[in-house]
Amino acid sequence: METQDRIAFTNEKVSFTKMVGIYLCVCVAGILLSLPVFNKLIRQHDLDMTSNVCNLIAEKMNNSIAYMTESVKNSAVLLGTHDIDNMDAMYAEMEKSISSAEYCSIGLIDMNHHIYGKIPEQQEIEKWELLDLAKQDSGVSISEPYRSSVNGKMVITMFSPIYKEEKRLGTLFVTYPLEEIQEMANTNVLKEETEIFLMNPYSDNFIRCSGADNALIGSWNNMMLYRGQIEDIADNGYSKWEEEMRSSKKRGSVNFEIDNVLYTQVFENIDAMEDWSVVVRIPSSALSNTLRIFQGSAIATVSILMLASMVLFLVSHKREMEERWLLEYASIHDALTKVMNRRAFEFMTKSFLVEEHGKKTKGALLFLDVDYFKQVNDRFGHDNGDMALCAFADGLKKIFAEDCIVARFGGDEFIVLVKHLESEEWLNEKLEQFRQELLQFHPDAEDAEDFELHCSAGIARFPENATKLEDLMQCADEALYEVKERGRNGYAWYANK
Amino acid sequence: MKRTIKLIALLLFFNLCLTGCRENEPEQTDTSAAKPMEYQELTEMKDGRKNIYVVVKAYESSYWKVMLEGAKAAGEEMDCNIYAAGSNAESEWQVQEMLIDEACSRGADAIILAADDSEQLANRVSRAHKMGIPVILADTIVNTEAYDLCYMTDNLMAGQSAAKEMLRLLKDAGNLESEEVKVAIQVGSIGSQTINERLAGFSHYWTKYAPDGWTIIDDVKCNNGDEDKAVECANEFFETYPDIRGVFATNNGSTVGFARVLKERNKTDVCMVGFDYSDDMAALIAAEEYYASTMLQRQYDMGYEGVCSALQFIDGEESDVKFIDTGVVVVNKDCINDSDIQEILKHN
Repeated sequence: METQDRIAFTNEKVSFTKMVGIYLCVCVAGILLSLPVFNKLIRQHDLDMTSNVCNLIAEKMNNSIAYMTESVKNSAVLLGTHDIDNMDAMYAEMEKSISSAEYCSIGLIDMNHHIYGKIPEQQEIEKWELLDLAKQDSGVSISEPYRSSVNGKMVITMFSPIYKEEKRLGTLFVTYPLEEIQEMANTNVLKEETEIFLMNPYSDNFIRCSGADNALIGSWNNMMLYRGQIEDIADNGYSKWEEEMRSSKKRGSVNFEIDNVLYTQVFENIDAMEDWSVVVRIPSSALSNTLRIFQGSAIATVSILMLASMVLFLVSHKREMEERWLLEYASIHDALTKVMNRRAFEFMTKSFLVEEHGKKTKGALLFLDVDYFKQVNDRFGHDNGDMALCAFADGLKKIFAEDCIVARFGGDEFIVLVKHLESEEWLNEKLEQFRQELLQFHPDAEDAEDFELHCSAGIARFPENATKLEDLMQCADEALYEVKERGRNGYAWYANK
Repeated sequence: MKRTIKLIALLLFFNLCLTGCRENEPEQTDTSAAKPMEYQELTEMKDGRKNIYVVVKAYESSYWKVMLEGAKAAGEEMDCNIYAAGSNAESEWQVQEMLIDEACSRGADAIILAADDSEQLANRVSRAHKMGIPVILADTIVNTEAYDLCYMTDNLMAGQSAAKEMLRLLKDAGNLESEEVKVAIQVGSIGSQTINERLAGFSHYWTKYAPDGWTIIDDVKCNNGDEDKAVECANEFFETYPDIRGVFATNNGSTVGFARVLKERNKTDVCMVGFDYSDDMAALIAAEEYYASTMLQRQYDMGYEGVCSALQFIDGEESDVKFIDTGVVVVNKDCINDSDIQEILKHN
């Protein structure tokens, strides 16, 4: 379709682009808005998972320590039931009766704080100042972990008073390897990523029970070393978490970042070991891998859906545009000559004249007739008649290519609007060129050698002759009538009559 | 249309970026270039004597030379051949692996090892022990039960001793229990078991025995074994916390850093407890106006006793202990001239 023939019925292209933009913006905004929500869910998921791991390990450790304390307590009760009140004899009896498979060392302490045991065991009690724990009247007291000289391993020693008929005879002490408790922290799931500590929140000391670096497992450490690495420690709730651990709160959790890695850390008090808590720290990435993959997949799926829907939009829009173009073309063009039809011409010309009204634009309206068209049809047939009309229209389009509107008015009548008239001479020249162009047409018939296609044209000027289309057409028609009166094959200006 | 397609492509790329990026794989350190040194003969070599191989951490370090002096003295006294070698740096556990293998293949009667890595050397130690070679560990325990005896400083206890000394110094310096007293700590590494245990021991004792108003500053600084950085950390402490009354250094480098800065700033009201013996620390202890103590390890004893025990194990004797704490000696201006301290300092 020629640019000059376009009729802008709607601004659908702009609307479509805007629509696409809005659609994409909504999709992206939806994804962006869903990310924080998703991240929050992941964080909560991490906390829940870590809490569950922590609960499980704390329970296992509690059970393990409770088993040890019960064992020590029962052994002390058993010793009290023997008919012996001499500590040397009791020590000998104890060595016979209590299985040594589960503990590192065992001994007695009498009421004068004399230690009955092997020399290294005695030295250890003194070295680590554990006699105070032996003074407790009831229950089982537990030492802090220390390295045993007997086996070179980290151990804890438990103390339980021995009573015989309500008379305190002394204290039984049993030393267990810390490994027994550490093993409770072993977890096959996320073994590399999960760090588990046995921690004293008052001194900030902890013993690593599980983690990626085996060399550090079972040795002492202190949380003060790592505080400096925690990002934004003043505001991320870490201090509150520490306070909770020091208070009577049973469990607590916190999220923080170290070197851009988000960690979830949870504590739970160990009931059986006063002042000690189990702390589980897991990097969020380890816990959330599945969810992160799901998140990535969801975003990728949404993106693919966006792409598919966009392709669908574009294809259907293109089809719609093509159909619309065809309809539009058919509605404004003459089916035979492909120039504009009368209705479209009137619409466009009226719009143009309204727009140019009051301006100094000078233009012209041409009415053109094919001379003796009926004779062409009669002599050479309708096909040649149609060809003559097409050649006429093509000639007009060729000569009046720029800044003009060419239309078939009906039958053998054509009309041309010249939007900007340079001069009458210029238009006369154009008409001469057009007449020469028509002479190039030859009907497809044997006896057509002498045939020449001619035209008659009437011209009206605007705004001089008229400013309304109907008036201009009337003027041009009158000028055409004059040419016809003169014998056709010519043109006349309305003002010239 | 093209513009629309470009826009879609851009947005899709943006969306795909949101799906996240893969983290970089950690870089592998190539240690294959490390080569073991030749074993050095510390004693006169005679046929028919027991051959004891001593493998230390950083062979050229003055600290480990002291241990080798102890081994040499015991070798000469006990009439045995002592061979010694070590890694170039305390991170080169692979070199120690090769040295253990070489000692085994040369028919060592016993091996004394100051291990660079508790975990990585466990298999080599176990293998040597299974071959019937007595293995004595020095300074650092290895994560296996397949060794005969370990001579080392119980660093938890050493840390407690340091805290005890700090409390004594602070009281001597006139700090009242009702006052607020702040103590700063500097460490040489955060991945060292030795340093961690010293810190844990210090914190344990402090929590138990320090007056309520006497606190450790949370901001523990780490100098990564660099003496210049240690000085920088010490200066930062005094800039940030001008009211510090005590400083504790968990290792030699940190001790040097604090000692220099205390001198430079003439901080005679700040008490210091450090580890090991250096010229800077010696100068601080020697100056009457400072309150300074250092904890000396007995690495000479580790070498000497290690050789003695090795010979006992070679002779088939057994030990009722597997770990012997060689302990630490507190050195301060009150005791530095004592003969036993002077004897220890001769080897430092």
